[in-house]
Amino acid sequence: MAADAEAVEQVKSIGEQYKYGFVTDIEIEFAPKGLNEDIVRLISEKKEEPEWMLEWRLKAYRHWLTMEEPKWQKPQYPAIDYQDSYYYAAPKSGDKPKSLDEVDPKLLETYEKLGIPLREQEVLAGVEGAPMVAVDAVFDSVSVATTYKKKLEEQGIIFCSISEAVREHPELVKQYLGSVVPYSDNYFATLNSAVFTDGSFVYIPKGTRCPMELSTYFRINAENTGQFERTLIIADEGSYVSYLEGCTAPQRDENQLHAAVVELVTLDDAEIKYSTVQNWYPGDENGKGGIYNFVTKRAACRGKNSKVSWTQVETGSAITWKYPSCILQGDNSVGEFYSVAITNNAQLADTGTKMIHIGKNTRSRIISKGISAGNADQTYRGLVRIQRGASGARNYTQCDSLLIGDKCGAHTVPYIESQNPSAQVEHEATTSSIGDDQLFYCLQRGMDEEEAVALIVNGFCKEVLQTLPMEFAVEAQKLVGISLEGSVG
Amino acid sequence: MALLEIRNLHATVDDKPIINGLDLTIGGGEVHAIMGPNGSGKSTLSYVLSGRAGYEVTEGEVLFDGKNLLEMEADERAREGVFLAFQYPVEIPGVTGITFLRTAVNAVRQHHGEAPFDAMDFVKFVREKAAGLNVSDDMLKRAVNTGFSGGEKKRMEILQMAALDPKLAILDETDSGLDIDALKVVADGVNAMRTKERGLLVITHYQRLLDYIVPDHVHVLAKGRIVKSGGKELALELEESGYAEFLEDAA
Amino acid sequence: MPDGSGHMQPYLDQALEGSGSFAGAGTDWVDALRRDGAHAYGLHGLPKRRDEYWRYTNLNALADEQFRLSDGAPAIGLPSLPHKLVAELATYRVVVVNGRLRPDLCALGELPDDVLVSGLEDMLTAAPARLEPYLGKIIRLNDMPMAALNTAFLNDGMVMFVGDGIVLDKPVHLISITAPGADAMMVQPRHLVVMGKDTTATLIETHITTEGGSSFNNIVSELHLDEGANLNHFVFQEESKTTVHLSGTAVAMAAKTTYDSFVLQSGAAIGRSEIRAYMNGPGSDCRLDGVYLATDKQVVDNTTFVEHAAPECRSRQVYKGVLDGQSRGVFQGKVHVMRDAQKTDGHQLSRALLLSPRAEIDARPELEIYADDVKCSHGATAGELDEDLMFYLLSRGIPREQARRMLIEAFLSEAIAEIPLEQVAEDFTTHVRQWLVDNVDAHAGQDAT
Repeated sequence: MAADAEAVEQVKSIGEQYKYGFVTDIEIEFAPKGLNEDIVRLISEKKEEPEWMLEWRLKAYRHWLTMEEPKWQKPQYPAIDYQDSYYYAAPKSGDKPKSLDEVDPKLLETYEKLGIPLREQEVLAGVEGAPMVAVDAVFDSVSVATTYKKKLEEQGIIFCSISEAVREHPELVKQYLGSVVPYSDNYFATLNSAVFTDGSFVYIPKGTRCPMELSTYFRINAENTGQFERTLIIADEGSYVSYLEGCTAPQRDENQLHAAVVELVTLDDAEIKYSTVQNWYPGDENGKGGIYNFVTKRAACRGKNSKVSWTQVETGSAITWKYPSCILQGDNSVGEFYSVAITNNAQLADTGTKMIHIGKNTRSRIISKGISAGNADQTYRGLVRIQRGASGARNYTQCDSLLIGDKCGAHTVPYIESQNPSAQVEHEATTSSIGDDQLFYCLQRGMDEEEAVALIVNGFCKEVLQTLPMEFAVEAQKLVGISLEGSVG
Repeated sequence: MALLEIRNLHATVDDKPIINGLDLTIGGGEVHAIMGPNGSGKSTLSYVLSGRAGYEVTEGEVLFDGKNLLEMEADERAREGVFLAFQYPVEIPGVTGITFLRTAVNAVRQHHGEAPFDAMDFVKFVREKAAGLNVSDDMLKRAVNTGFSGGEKKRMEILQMAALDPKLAILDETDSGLDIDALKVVADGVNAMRTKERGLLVITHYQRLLDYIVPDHVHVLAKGRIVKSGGKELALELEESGYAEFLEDAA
Repeated sequence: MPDGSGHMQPYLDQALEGSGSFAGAGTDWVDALRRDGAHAYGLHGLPKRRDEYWRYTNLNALADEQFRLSDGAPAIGLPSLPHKLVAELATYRVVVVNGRLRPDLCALGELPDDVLVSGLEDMLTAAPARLEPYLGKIIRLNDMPMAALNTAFLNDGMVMFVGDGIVLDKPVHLISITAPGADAMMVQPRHLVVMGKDTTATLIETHITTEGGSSFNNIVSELHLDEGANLNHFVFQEESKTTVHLSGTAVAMAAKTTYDSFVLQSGAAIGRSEIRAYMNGPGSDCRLDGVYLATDKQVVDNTTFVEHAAPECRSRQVYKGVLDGQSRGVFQGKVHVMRDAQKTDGHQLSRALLLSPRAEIDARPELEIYADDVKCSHGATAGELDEDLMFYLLSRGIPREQARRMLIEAFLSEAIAEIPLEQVAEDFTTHVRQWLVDNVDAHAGQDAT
């Protein structure tokens, strides 16, 4: 309960606005700039992939060539020159190290600076008594370390990089990769299918409750590099896993593209809790630089009584454009989406979710909190579709927007489509500002304005933040304060 | 040196004069009551002293502990020791009472060069303060004032006062919306905080509150000025005679 | 201009052919206005699914069947009107048949001085200058392709001017009759209402179809409210199920105006009411309410757009619908608050009852806000009747069918109760009740067997 107060205190003590903006000086091996079939082949070769994987990539690439970049979203951005980017960048330390002792010290140092524990006895920075967290650390295009693999293997849990999974567990990858987000799904997902480099793979066997949080930490380091990670999580019958994802990037003047695909599959009675704290470099206060975060995240609740819960805290990126979704196929399956999106200065975000109700008695819940400050513009876009057969389906959606200052904007666009009379769909939305009376009340109790705003905004987001695992919640609350620095007064 | 010295204070709201030449001096350990009819400027005075935006001082000066109070921002005044118990305490959804209080108390402590409380110590600290005020842990875990009854809100105000330990506390119509039992709890809480150093400014429309928080001085405010001052018996007089005579006098 | 012969721009040819003979031809601004309409429609063509504002209402029927522009008002008399109380109400009556004013059927005796009610064709011919400041100036054609098409056909309809300071003693009742022959027929009526400063008036519209072949009724109304003007606007849309009824209304609101609109739609194969309110002056109040009832394969679409361009305005929208059979209800509402529109208070609510497993509701309530000191909210619900309420009524001995009707009526009454004109509210209620008897009971009976 005291975590938010702590966050507020931290706000003041952190001097710079984006503390992850440093660059790791490490030798990087690049594939040549540009995108063509040879690059696709090269990536596949670097990853020592079997033929079927290469074929799938090429199919995607050829399809991508026929597609048009979408233009319907609210944030518009300058044309991306897909030939002027690197699609593969990896630290030049040879093969993936067998143990942490072999990891390049510069990388270890980087993750230490980012507060990510790569030594198994350590826990996330600064949180005492936090449970164990297994980490897959992805640096540019490769996974550099995965911790606790052995311990997890004892229970039959597979937690490794997707590249490794393609080699070691081809039957699972073949069965599920592209089964939720087909290679032809959309422009950026198709691009990702062609050139994805690394990301995490998780398989939780039947009846297993994963004994620790799994997490992947994505770091873009190299210049002019796109990051195309691919994550696939399968929760077999009756299993449970909580997965966390964090992202940062150095402060650079040019924009970098991050086009990830995440696929989740839950079978009967299984549950996946997927949490994201996205803190890619947002660009400077004039909108120069920053990451284009164009991501496709989708979950298939295939089994009956299965559940997927997305929680996202989006504070970074120049442009965020993503809709983590749930396809509720199994009867009684449940989809949840909890989101906090903060846009400050020149940041843009168009984010929300899709809940597709197919099975009977499926339930979904959407809680979205959008905060806009500075010159930022934010859109919540969400679809709730109740298909004909989804008898007894329920949806509840609440989306609240908070505007700080008079140069920002908030846009709420829910699409509600119901084809079943026994389904109940309920949507509520509000837009408001921080009340003068609230602010004065805090000031009268001795807080300064930034503290007061961080406190009030954390309160506004509370319903979402409290769904995060504890160690992430603390980090997220700090971020809320930091992201809004300079937005008042 | 007096704790608070108000000299010839004039203040406007939306360019409308509300306070028109007010003088008042409060010494350490003194309890002053300001009474007056609706619209006489009572609440405005509390906002002017606490530095709310939109309340403009056009003339006069206010010294607090010898410092120019009017030069300070609202939060600075709070950290220097001016506390306002609001007539209508504000709801802050999602922020628990304990978090709110700890943030405030630590801001004040750091201002005075003291170490901030950590979470555990703070809980102990607040529980002690809360015990006498009938404020339960449950109330502290709920969002600030959200869904509180009138009595709960006022008890929460007094708890904040106790926790922040101000030099000067201004109670703005603290009796409004309270039944007699709730009023007693609140008054006991306030009385427990009467010390030789602390000044209290009790703003009220009715004499009732002053049966429980007995003032040293009573002032009648009408049309933005103090028109009569006296001892605690003045409050009883007012109860008998009402404010009519002062409205005419001041006109 | 793209060649208008294609599948995507049906009817453009007809508009271009007719333009020489439409009223006011030869008056530069009128010709230009029709040209702008043809141009905007030509660029866009028939709305497609990827047009945000037409996502759920498919107009392929207009491309599949060729509707011919009606060649004038047939000599029919005034049919009996479905709404008893409104029909008996003392009103100024205006009758438009197939988009053409029928002076012989109008009853405009004793109109106050400085109030003008006339046909658009007559005005375009006799006094076009009076129309010029308003006609085509309120509706925005770039993203309203069907209004653009109407503009290309601009010729006749109702014109009403209410002079400064006038409080009109009786409502104006516009009776719009679509009277098709055997062949597919199209009409393109155009109405203009100009309310002067500090005026008050009530406009009631009834839209009906007489028996005949299929028809396409594409209406545009422009309403201009000067400072302090108050307009109450009630619409009964009860065209036959062989009609495609598209109505586009644009309201320009100056300071301190009120616009109070209520639309009841239960007719037409496709019935669409699109209202765009531009709140250009401070201190105004806009209320857009509606009830829709649909069955069989009807599509009923209510689309609204409220632009808050000035501070301290209030807008309220409440739309409620009941959907039976294989019908589809559409609600798309947008509240757009511009940078300077501080202290805006905007609210919209869409609620739909699905009575049949094959009915569908699509709702898109949208907020777009660029001012920080505002209160805006929206809500949307879809579902069936509350089973707990139902049980409560049954447990008191009320038969299921009757309980069902009572609950549906209660559901809709929240919107109808807001209607300030008693006779209109009564007629709306009667209409809803009759519709429930005709449709819902029959359906409930089928359920039981």
